[in-house]
Amino acid sequence: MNETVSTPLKIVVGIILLIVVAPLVVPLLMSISDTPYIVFPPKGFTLQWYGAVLANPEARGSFLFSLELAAIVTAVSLVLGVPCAAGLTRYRVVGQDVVLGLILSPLIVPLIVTGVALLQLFSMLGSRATMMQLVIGHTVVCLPYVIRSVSASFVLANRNLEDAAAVLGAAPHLVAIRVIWPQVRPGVLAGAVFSFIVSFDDYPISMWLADGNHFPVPLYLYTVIERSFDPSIAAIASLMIGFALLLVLVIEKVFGISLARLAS
Amino acid sequence: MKASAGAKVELSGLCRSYGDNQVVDNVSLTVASGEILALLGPSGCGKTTTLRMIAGLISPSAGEIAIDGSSITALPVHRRNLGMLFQNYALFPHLTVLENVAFGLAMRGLPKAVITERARQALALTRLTGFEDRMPAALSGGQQQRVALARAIVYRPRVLLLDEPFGALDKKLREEMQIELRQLCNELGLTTILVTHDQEEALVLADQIAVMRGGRIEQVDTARAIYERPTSHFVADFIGTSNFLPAEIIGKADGCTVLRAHSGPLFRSTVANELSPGDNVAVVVRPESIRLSQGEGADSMNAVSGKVLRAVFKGQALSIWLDVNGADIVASLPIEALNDINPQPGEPWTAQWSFERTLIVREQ
Repeated sequence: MNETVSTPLKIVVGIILLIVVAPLVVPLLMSISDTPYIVFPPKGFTLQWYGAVLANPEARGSFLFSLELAAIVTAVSLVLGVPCAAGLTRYRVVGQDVVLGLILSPLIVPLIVTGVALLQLFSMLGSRATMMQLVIGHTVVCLPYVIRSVSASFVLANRNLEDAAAVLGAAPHLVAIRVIWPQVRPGVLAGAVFSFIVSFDDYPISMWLADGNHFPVPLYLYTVIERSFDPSIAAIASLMIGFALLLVLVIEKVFGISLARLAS
Repeated sequence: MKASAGAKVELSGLCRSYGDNQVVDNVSLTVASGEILALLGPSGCGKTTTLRMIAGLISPSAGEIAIDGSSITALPVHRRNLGMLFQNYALFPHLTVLENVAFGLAMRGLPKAVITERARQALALTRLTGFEDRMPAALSGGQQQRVALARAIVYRPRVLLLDEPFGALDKKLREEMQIELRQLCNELGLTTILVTHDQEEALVLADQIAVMRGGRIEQVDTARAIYERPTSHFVADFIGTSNFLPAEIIGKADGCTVLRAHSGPLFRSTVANELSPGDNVAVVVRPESIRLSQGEGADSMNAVSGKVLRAVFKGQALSIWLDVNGADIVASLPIEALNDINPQPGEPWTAQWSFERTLIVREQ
């Protein structure tokens, strides 16, 4: 962990980071352009587009709805995912690999296919509960992320500590709270962050399942692009980037070291 | 911390199998109150499984475990009130030293003030005062070991279980810790069961040693008796170094056993044994029981002659290997007793030992 990184490796990592991060700067710059249309590089400086977006009730509504949806989806994914990851890593169950494969399959099948399949399923069932449909659709996609990161932390957890705690007099539920939870917490947290961001950014699933009253930010952004092409689009995009960044930074600040250990 | 009378532990007919693999096979043992018993054996002999069954971490396939006369076989781990030291300490990495030590007390629902006070006492007892707020990762191996020890004894367990506790320490520190542990256990009157594959550790720490092999107990006795009177080839070979001379008993009278080695020479032993004439046995001689003299002298009792193969200087002693009719006999001479003795490879020398140092074990 403490090895020094060689210079060539630093250069390669730097280039990769540049390729990943540089495009994110573009909408940021476009959003401050003092022109009625999108240009790059920006001309002049203004924050009016942010003001316009924040003043727009449709934009605000979509943003709040996306937050609500992501929060619910994350909660559901954790409730389903944590016990599932615990079971899959700690016990030998018949058909374990099949179960894991099924859970992770939404990561392999194109999301747009998953979305249309869910739409067909829901219309066959005659369902009109849009919110529930969205929650189910997003959870299907978010669950693999939760299970992946929580499983990793369960595998890394030291079983000896559980034996030690039991011998010291801890009943099974106390072992879970006092010894297992501190060890898997970083994994659960990482899974929650992934789940939240994946849900918040999702377009291909929402596209099929949303309606006028349940309209997530990515769909709103798309309709705005179709209607007009002013820098408020870039402002919305920048706000989304900023929000995700903030989330990651807060988590990193609070749990940074344990997350780094989990990743290593 | 007051000395509490340790509990008596009884294992009867303890078994554990995994499929067809009988890991622990009918182990019966009694550990007296305040005694330190070592389960000693090579890896895979079932000693750790036995210990984990006592702790309650593994349930036995058959047999009973009783503490002070009452069975704990069906009692779950967390209600057995035992202390255990794990091989890699198993300290909670997210808790401070004090919190680690306090864990067992907290599980017993004691008031906070009492917990802190007793945890501090236990830390003082293991010479760790001043380390209360450190994290385990910031401690050396020996310090972690002492935290684990404080954590295991702080709630006055009925029995202390040690699973290869010093394996990860270097030799010098290990020796210090062994002596410290022995003193502590004696002071507290703690009944202690120790698992080790290191015979020296067992000899230093234990009042009683149970040598295990293939899931069974080969011999239980005091350290000294095990060393001086091994009853099987395995024990004689596993504890210390032994010379084996395949032989046959040709007569027994007045506490004296006469044997003839398959290679010819006659031996006499005054060590008590339960063997009878005709049994297939081996004469066992410890290297330090052997006296060496120059030249051939094999016509006397309990002596064999051979050519020196090599001599190796080992600090406190000189080890000399003799080739006796194709079999190696090793003798160990303390440096002070050497004087002018200086065997050279190829020279004929005679090894001789007394009747009371002539051990006999049954051969399979």
